[in-house]
Amino acid sequence: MRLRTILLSAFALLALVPLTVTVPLASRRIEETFARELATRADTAAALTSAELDRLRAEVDQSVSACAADPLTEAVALQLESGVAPAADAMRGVAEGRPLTVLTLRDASGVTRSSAFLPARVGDVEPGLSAVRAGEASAVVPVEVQNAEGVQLRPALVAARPVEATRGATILVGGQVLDEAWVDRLARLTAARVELQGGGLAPAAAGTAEGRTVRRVLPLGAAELTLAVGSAAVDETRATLLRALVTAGALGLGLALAAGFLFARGITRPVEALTEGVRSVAGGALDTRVPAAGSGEVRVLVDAFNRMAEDLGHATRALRAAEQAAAWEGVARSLAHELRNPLTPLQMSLETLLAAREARDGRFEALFVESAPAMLEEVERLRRTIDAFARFARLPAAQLEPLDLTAWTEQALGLAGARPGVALRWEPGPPLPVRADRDQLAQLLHNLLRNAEEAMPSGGQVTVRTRDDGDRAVLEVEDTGPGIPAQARARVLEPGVTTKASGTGLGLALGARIAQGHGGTLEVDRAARGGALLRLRIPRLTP
Amino acid sequence: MVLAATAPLESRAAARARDGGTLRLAVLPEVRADRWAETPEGVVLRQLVAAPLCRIDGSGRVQPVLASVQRTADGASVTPRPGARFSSGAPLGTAELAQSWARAVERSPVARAALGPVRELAATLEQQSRGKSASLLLPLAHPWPDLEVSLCHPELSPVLGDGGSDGVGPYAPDGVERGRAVLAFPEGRPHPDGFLVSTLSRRAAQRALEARSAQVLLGDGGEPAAAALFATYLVSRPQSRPTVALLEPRLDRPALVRSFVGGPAAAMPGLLPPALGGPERTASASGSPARGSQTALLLYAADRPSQRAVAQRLQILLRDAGVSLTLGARTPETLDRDWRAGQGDLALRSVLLPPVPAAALAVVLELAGDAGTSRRELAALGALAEERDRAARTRERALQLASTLPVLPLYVEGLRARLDPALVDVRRDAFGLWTLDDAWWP
Repeated sequence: MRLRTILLSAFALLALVPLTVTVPLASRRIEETFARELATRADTAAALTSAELDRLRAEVDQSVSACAADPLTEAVALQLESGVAPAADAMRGVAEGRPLTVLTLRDASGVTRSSAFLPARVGDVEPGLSAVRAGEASAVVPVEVQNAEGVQLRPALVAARPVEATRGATILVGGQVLDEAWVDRLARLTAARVELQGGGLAPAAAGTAEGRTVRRVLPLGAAELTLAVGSAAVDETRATLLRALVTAGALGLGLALAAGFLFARGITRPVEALTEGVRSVAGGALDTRVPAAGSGEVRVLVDAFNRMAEDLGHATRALRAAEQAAAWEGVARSLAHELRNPLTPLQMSLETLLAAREARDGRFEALFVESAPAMLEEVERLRRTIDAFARFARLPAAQLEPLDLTAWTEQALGLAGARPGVALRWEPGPPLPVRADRDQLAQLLHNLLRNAEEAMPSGGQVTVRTRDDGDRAVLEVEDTGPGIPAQARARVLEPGVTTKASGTGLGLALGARIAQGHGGTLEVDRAARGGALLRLRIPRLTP
Repeated sequence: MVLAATAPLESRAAARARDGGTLRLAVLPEVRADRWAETPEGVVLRQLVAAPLCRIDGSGRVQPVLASVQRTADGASVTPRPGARFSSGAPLGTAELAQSWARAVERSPVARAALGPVRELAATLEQQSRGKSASLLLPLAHPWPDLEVSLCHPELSPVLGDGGSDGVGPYAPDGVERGRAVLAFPEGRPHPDGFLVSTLSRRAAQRALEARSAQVLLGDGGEPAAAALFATYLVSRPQSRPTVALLEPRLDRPALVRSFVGGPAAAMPGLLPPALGGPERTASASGSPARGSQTALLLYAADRPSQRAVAQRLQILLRDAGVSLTLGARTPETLDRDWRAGQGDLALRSVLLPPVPAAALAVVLELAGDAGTSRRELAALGALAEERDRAARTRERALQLASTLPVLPLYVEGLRARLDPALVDVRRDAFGLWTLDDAWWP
């Protein structure tokens, strides 16, 4: 992983850690705060409802007491006491202008004798109202409410007062029906959903409570009042806060990453330049220099690298010059050797012929016929020697292409064949993908095989094998000849060096150059059975 | 109060009547709302401008007012009195009479019952509404001795047009609240020069009468209901009979009258009111009522306070019986139409019954809506030529039919009215209604 990536990751981690800690904590605190707020709102709604009920009780008590003392009430009560049935709705005039929706005059037996709002019940005992005792505190009881659609039972807050003019023989019961209008008013007052219900009572509900709800239940005698406060409003605020929190966190993370990127780039840019420089130098570009950047240790490192690269360039150039000189010396020596060998027989043959010519020796013709072919053979040998050197000198750059070394070797061996008396053994290894120049590889294999055959003039066995050696593909050619002496192995790959009586000493040198052109090496070793072992190692392509 | 004032009235009646002045009437809003004069108070008010064809006096004699009725071989002929004119000036002829009755038959069960014995009624009226004969011929499907009495019903007062105010009366309308004396009224001009109607609240009307700024108060007060004929029934559909059966044992008619009707009213346990010889006590209901529908719609006339109160009481009683009753308020004009159109399960119907039992039973049978039963019963009653026999047989049949007809009698009301004791020559007819035509004051 690149240093810059590591640094960036570190910065991101540093930014994320506080976020992962603070955001859940803050979120939980927000949740708790809003839960408390919701509970507080429900408690407030309950308190407001209690206050409204207290106000209603006071209003009912006051109104019913006033109605009981109203002259019209007394007149109706006295009429009743005298045995004359009052009009069913005679109490309607008493209720006018007063905040009452229940007003009934009942006799001592509890029978309704006149009713302002339910005259149709006159003559009956109303179970709900008859349960209310005169003089006692107001109570919520079920009362009948009549309209065109029918009769419904509704809770009503009522109080009962005796009509003093009849010495308590008649009782006035009045109050207010807790109907939809009252529930609606309560819902608006408390900003909660209000549900009023009870056994057999027509339910009434108003207001809304969306989202999670917190409920408070207020028992009201015959009815039950439920207040529900919804979390919809606080949920929106909570969501806004959480969104702001997450946005701030994301913004902080982004800023940290941006700052980390800039900081990491400042640090890694000289290091990356240095790494690239090292890679270039390793690739042979000894003139590579890293621009002076950074400060401190990085700057010292860059300077040291540049000095080292410069020194390495000088040393490499000197070494190369020495090697070239040594190579040229070897080539010259080998060339001189190879040229001198045929020249001596040529010189001797020509001198013999000249001497016979001058001596007018009668064997001249016979000598000429005998010497001419040998002289031509030596000349031909000279030409072959010069061609070999020319090929060595003119070796082109390798044209690399992907191929399977094992498959290619098997195919090439099929075409090559072997000299009589020499057995060719093929030991294929696994598929070995490489990048290689087919022609140069064929030249190399040809040279190695010819070298092995020449090492076994009386016959023997040549073994060719391929094998996998990690990141390298290996091609080995092993013979059963005398092998290469240990002291000669170090120089046998140099041009003009040979252990054979005849040979230019360029075959293995050319092979070594081909190996180098493929990014590999040609090694000389001793076979297990004493023969020579030549080993080609070239880079293996990774799948 | 009127009884108390009767003696001096009679003694003053012998004195010479004084002409002139304005007869002042105070009426309650519900009386003013009775556009078609279906209530006793509405009839009294309306007869000032739309007199009936005839009047039945206290002894039961028929006195022609606008027309005379003669028996023919197959029925009767009605001959308008010469000179009788509508307030608009149009003469009262047989065509106008036939047209007026055709309209009455459309909206009133009383009119349908009164003309029910006429053979092919609709065609007869249609034919004669286009003719110009001097007499309106009424061929009868069966003998009907009470035809003359029936034709005296205020519902059959001739009226021109659909407005209901262009009749032939002792006064002609002069605006909404006033009327002026008609000099050419067949029975002679009334003594006052005109009348003035004031619509007042109950309390204001009472004060106006006490202060003598009003001479007649319509809608409040009244005498005991012995002669009351304004009967209210609960009619039902056949499928709603179980609902009525649930209601009947819970129904306390005297309490109903006492608490919710008030005024000159009495319980009516039988199909005929006590004034016509109907029973005065309720026969105890027998058997357990079957369970009916859990919901029902009751039509009632919303403009009549007593009907509204009774409807609400019935709603309460049926609720106690487990039936949810919905109240359908109607105007008096739409109540009959909607009921005949099939709306509602129950209906409160109030009708001013004719003052003879057979004619009254004809109205009850018309409310029941069973034309076959009605025709059969009336033919049988009409065959009895003797009035006494017919009345006795009618009461007997009324008792027998009470348990089979979908008509539950509830109560009967009399005229709610008060008079200034100074008024002279105010007579009560067989309907129990006052006739103000001859009223005058010293």
